[in-house]
Amino acid sequence: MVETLNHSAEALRHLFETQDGKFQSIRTIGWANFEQTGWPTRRDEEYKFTALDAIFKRNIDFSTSGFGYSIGKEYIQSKFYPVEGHHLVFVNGNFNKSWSSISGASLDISSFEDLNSEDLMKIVDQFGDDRASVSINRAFLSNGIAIRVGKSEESLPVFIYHFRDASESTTLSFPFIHVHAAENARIRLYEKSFSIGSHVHFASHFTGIEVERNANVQFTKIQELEKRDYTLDNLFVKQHENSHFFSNTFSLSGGLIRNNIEITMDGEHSEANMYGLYFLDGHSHVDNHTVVDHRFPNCDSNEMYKGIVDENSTAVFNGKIFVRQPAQKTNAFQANNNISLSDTATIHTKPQLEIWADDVKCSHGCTIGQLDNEALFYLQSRGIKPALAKAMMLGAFAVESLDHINMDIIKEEISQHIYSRLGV
Amino acid sequence: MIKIENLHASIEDKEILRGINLEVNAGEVHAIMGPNGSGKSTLASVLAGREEYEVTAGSVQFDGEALLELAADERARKGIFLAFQYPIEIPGVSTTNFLKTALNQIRESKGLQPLNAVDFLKRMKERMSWVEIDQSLLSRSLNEGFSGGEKKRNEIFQMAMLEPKLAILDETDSGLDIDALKIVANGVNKLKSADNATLVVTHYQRLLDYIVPDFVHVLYDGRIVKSGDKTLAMKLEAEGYDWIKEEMAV
Repeated sequence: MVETLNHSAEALRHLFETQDGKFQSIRTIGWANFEQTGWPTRRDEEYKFTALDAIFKRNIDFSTSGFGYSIGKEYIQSKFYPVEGHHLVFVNGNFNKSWSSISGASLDISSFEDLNSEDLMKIVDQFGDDRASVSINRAFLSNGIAIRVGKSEESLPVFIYHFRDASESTTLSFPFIHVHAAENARIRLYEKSFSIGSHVHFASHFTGIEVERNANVQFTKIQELEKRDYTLDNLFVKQHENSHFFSNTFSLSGGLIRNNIEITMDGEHSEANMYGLYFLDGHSHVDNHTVVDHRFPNCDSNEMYKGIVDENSTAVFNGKIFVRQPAQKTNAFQANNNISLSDTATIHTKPQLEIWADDVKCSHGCTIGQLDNEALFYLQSRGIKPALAKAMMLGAFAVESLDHINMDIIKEEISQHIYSRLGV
Repeated sequence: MIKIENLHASIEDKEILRGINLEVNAGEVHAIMGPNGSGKSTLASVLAGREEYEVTAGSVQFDGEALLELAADERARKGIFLAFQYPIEIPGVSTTNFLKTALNQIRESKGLQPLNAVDFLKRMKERMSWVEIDQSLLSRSLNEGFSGGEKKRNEIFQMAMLEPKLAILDETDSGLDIDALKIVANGVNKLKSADNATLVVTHYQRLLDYIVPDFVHVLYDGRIVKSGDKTLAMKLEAEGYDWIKEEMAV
């Protein structure tokens, strides 16, 4: 029988109580909310296929967890992409300014420790709700960052590296990132997380992005994690008139990953694009829940998530699109296409459209399939061995998701990861 | 080169080929003609190794080897090439990349080194001109968004790149206008040598004006019922297939 680990709010209390400092009022509210809700169970509709309570009970013992780390600057900086830009380092959820590399003045980056309480409160209050993954992030609010791109500025690319060091014991991280792109500003952010050490790590990420008029923000997330790594990730986006937002989410490995993306269209003529790829094996469990809330007319949203699931992995996709009554002339497109390579892999996919406006174009589609036999035969009929033909087809299916990334080194890295796993 | 004896094949328990006998030697062009549903495409598919068809009797020797024992990709590496009647679109795989992979797999099976990038491009350039295919088409996803004619030219281009011993053209003329037909035929003729052979499967005679066959066979109801030279194709063009059907009914 599986031993029941102490995964509950109670087990985290000792950590909460040893916290101090200026974040205390935010933490107290977060903790109170978390204590009240606890982890979602399968009875919670939003967590039906990702019952955090049960998953954590089997895998995480919070009673012995902490924030300690042993990695150093040299190792961390060896992971930086050799690209001109801002390289921001988080270690177990805390921003580390001295290990980061910030170049030029096109960007204003403040750590939460440097912000006054009033500004910090504004940032934390702008987004979020009282779901457990948000509350827990608040309850352990760490040294996050606020990134500001000024009016009509174009920032150098921003690389955010999260080092999850679990070398000594079970560790936790609760990073918080807030991005504000002023009118006409442009910024591209690339976020990557690293698993270090052999113990369990639990992370609850929170990112809030405000995209002002005519601004353009691209956010790419790479999740290539160990099997003993558990991630809850919330990304909240608010778009104003004429703004553009792109997200790319690559979930390549990990024990559990739950990504929530919620985009609110708060001005006319804005456009949101969400692309995702998950490529899972072993017992990985990846759940992407997305929401686009169309509140103003003449906005477009496009969403395309693709997945390959193998072995005993599980993928969950839920895409909600709300088109409110004033949001006439909305164009909303959504697709989730999956390929299953194993009889023991599981896919749950659900589009959910709620439309109150009458003059809109909305389409959605979910597919779960195997590779096209005709196409495989075609490749084989030219002398290509079946295993290679299959790998070529899967690679082609997957790397299409890289089309929307404007950073060659990252495209190349993910493409190599995919093809090397496929054995090509 | 290839010797087909008493070949029977079925799909979903329906017998389509009912005892085909055919021998093709190096340097020869054979045409297989016949009315719709006579089994022409089935023959092409069975030779290429399409798995939906079940061979229930007979044998096929290819260069002295039992062809039917081999999987489709092994047959291709031994020198069989099927130009598809309906070439498949494969998003995300460029023609160039696909051909490089195929060519190198074939070379590897012959114990040859992969072709280097310069030689590969040289070979591409040369053979692109044979079928008047454009470079921009080849860097796109394989057959995706190609017109019918472009797809057929791409088939012959692939054949030119892979240099098979036995090329089987399955209704390559269908859907082509006369100019495209000439280009395709021109490509096929360029490849013709004393060491290879071509099997042209077609419903109409017009392709045979440009790819001149040494032998013409009429397939009817799963058997070759008549063989002759190119004048047989002309007779079929002039008189249709009814006289064959009548002869068979007697």
